[in-house]
Amino acid sequence: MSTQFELAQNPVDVISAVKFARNDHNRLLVSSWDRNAYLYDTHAEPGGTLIRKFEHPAPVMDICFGRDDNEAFSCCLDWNVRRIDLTTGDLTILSQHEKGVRNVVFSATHNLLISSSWDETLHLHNLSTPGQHAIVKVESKPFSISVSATKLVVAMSSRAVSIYELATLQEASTISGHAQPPVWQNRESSMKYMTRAVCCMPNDAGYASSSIEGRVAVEWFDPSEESQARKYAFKCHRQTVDGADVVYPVHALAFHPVHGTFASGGGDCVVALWDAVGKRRIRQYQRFPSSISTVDFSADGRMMAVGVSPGYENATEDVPDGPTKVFIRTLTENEAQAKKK
Amino acid sequence: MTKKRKRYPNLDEKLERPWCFYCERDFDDLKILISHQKAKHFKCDRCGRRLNTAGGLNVHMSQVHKEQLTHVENAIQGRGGLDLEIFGMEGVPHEVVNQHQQVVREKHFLEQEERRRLTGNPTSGASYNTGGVFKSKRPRVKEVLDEIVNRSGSWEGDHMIPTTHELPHGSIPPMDVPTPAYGPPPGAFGLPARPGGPGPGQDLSASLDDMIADAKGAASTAAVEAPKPKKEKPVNLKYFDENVSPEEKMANMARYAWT
Repeated sequence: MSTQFELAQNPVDVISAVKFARNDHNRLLVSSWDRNAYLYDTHAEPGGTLIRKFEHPAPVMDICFGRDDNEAFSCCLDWNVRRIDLTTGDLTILSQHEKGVRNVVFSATHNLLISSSWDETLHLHNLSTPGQHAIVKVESKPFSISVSATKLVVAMSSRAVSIYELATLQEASTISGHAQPPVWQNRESSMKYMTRAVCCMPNDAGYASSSIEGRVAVEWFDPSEESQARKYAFKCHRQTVDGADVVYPVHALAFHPVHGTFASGGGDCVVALWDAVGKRRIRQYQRFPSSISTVDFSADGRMMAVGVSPGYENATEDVPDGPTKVFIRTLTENEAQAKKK
Repeated sequence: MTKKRKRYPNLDEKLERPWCFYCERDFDDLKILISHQKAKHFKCDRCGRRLNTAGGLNVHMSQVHKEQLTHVENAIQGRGGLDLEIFGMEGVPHEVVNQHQQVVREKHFLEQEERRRLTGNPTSGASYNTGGVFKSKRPRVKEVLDEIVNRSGSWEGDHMIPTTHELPHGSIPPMDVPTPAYGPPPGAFGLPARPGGPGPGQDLSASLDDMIADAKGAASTAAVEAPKPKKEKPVNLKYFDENVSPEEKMANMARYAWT
């Protein structure tokens, strides 16, 4: 309703990520294919204020906050992982991959920055030992990574999923150069098609993953048979047109930090909230004007940011029509809460 | 006690069902529709109060929460407008009603046709459409394959014994019996009529065997075909690639090139 608004100054090309700061719930980072990273104060004035813009030499693929609200890390198609000082605007290159860098995540519990690239490696940056990084070879091309309090989940091509323990990665990160930390678990995606996004549950119990074929799977870390039997997958982000199912990719997943429910965003321009435990849909929002490329919740769970970009998954040379925008939605107390019963 | 729902309601019954203007869902009765609308479409997402109409919710939102309602929640595309005052089935524009009925009709006939195709039974709606032109006076015989086999076995038992021994007085040789006592003629089993039914001179037991074989064949092909319709629904993937993500494809495009 009126509690949803769009940012006044939006990126001009596909939005690759939106991320809220951990402490200041109005602070939002946005990365875009227009070669910029943006820092906003979402509630300084109606429509939010653009605090600063950070130019990169190539499209920015992902971004995350670091140890505090004034530090950020970005990864870029120029193969580099950068540290961004949000107060001064200084960009420092931390490491270089051998191909475009897809994702970057920061684990506050282990003071560890992890980047993943299409060169089939992860770079581990232990922030307590600056200037060095460990390189970890993974099974195939990483498409999405996510951290929980103790685990890192890497979703890759060939439907492979590797789960690492952050403690072992932290250990490996102390030595510069190539490292072979043991994989805690190797799994195969429970979905038939390419994995699109992965996101860990805030309670460290498991993770959700989504595929290009309108489907989301929920599974648990616990390797015991009972816990593994609980895993499931369901169809979503589909439309029936003339009797045929049009199936959209599910681009974005984000868990609600308080209620443990999660949001999914798809190529059908829809964001839906799900109760992972109750296996129910909580709500589905009014269609957005373009494909949903990314979703994030603020740390207090009171706000949700949705990045929409027109038809980008088709990768056509003509620029697709439609708005590129970031929407901010203020959630009510129980909007994202699982329904009773 | 509620009325037991018919498995295959006829068209009139389907058209009479109340349905929701905002989401096109249909309901058993009007009360349920109204409570659905209050819960799904006219519920205030600030305080959870359920209003009776979109207008009512609008007034509530502006007076209590000082906010402006822009659309009806959970509505399908193009139906979320606030200009219509909908309550249950009241206030739904005529053209939308007609459109909905058209959809219900089309769906009904499609379902009927599909059921006819799968079961081979004539459509029950035939009496609806043609005003009951065709109605067999004989009670419909419904048999499963086993029953047919059993019956043929007992037929053969009954008729083979007399031929091996002497014929009872006045009885007619079985060859000439045109199966009067053993149910309807072939073709009345709800199976497609076979070309060239048993002629007067044909060996009936042989023709029965044929029939059984036919029935078996039909049953087995039906068993093979039956699960198919579920998977037949064509799937149109908006993005497909085995191992290349959309981002990689984009990265290869000229406008994002980086050297």
